[in-house]
Amino acid sequence: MIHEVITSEKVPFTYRVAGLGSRFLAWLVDVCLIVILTEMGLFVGSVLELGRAGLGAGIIMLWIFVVQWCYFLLFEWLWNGQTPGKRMLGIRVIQWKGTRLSFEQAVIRNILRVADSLPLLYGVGFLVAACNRESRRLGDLAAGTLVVYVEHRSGPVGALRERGSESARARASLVRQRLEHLHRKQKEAILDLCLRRNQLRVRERARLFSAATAYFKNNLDLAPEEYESDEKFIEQLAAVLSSDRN
Amino acid sequence: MNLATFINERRPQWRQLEDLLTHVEGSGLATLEEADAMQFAQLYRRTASDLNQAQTYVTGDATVRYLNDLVARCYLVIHATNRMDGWPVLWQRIRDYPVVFRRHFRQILVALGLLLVGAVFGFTASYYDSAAARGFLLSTDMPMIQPGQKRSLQSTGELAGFSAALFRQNVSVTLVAFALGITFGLGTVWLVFENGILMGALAAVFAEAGAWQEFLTGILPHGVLEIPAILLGGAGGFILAEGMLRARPWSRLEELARCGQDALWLVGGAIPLLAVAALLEAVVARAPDDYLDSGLKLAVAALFGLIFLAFLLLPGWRTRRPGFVDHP
Repeated sequence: MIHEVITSEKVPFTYRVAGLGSRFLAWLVDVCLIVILTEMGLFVGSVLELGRAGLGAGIIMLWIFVVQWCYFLLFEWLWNGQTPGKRMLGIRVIQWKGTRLSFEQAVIRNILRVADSLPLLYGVGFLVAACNRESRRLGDLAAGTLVVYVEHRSGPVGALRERGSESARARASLVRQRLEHLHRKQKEAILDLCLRRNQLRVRERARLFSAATAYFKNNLDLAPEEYESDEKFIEQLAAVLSSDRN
Repeated sequence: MNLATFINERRPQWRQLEDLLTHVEGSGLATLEEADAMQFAQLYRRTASDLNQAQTYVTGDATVRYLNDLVARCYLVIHATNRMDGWPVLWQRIRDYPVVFRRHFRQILVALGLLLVGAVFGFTASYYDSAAARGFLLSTDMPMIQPGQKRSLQSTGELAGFSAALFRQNVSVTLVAFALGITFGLGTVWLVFENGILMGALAAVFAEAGAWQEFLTGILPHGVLEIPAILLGGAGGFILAEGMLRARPWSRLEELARCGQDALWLVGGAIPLLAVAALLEAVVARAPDDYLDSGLKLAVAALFGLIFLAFLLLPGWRTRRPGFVDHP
């Protein structure tokens, strides 16, 4: 599911709405951390209790209270909509209109957690989230928030080659003729491969480029020149593809 | 459009924006030098328009996705105006509190009515069947006072521990009453009513033992603040429920989100109340009678009750409500 936001400059952009699976895993990580924090409080409290009866118990009570009600709230507020679990899973809470969530919203969505966690293990929250298209639980509905993926899923695009010398241009017309046989999807795949080549691991990169070269050799009778690497060859094709519109 | 030219021409600026953005995401917009801030804004606008172009003309997913992510990340850090910046905002909220309270007087009355009905029900039920009353009272994890209970003087450590436990318990009840408003108010109704029953049943136990004075001195010093706090939680829940039920020019979801923020600050008032109430309960209400005279306990109750009422009812009548314009 895609959530579209229109900026004040009237440019639409999109967030990918986080699925229930990632949200559950993030919650699991957070619960583990909450348990660890609680245990630490119990330890410190019981040491203090030895020194002065009652005081340690009081500190434990307050600590459990703070961890129980404020863990999600404080992290989401201070970390721009992320808790450690959410950060690990690459998801983030935002306002429905696409901006950063406010303090009040963080408070509301986390108080409403109580209602969502009924009758046990987030039964209500799960049902509600499964029944709306943007997977919002009751707390999200009441606070006007949304959980989205904001991992940096696409690294920077690489530079594309532009058309080169005279001899390359002569070859380009032949290439262009042959490339007419490709489907639109195939053309896009070639362009994407070249744009994102820097994000691939070395081995994957070599494998993908040689696979693409093999395809052209077998189906379109286009082969790299002597001393030309597979990658350079595909980049030539991409250069032709990307400039054949003008 | 020529994709290669487009990308090769614009790419350096995207990379530059990315660098600035990484810096901003780490340490905030405020840490940018003035020149960098200007450039950041400029690069963002330019990139947003590149995204617009790419969406229309460019084939292939990679470029559009890259620009989309870049713009989305920028958007999150640029439109972060709604941060709560500490004391001034908090101070403003405290000053506005009486007005907010009075604006939601209707919901508070509903909660009060429910609590009273519950109390009467609890009282009559347990007056005629005391076994049931004790069963009901004992089943909760709240530390209840008992008639004829011998109270010992507690150390400061024990007092602190005890009031912390009370605070935690009561805040949880209040917040849950608020949260359950999302069940169209049904959960809130039940929770407020149940607390009324508890109070009524406890009163019946004391009435049976003929210990009215003990009941009042044991309940009132903190009750004058604790009972309003649960009413605030209940009222917050009812505001949420109303937001879900009311059909408005705008959608239910938007109304719900608006009501949530509205109710939040009302309910927030319960937290300082409960902190004070927990201290009063541990220190005053449960102090042994030969240590603190029962008259003194009631005086403390009256004092705190009056201060609270005065805060709610006296200030803020002359502040102009938002949306109202005085005509000369």
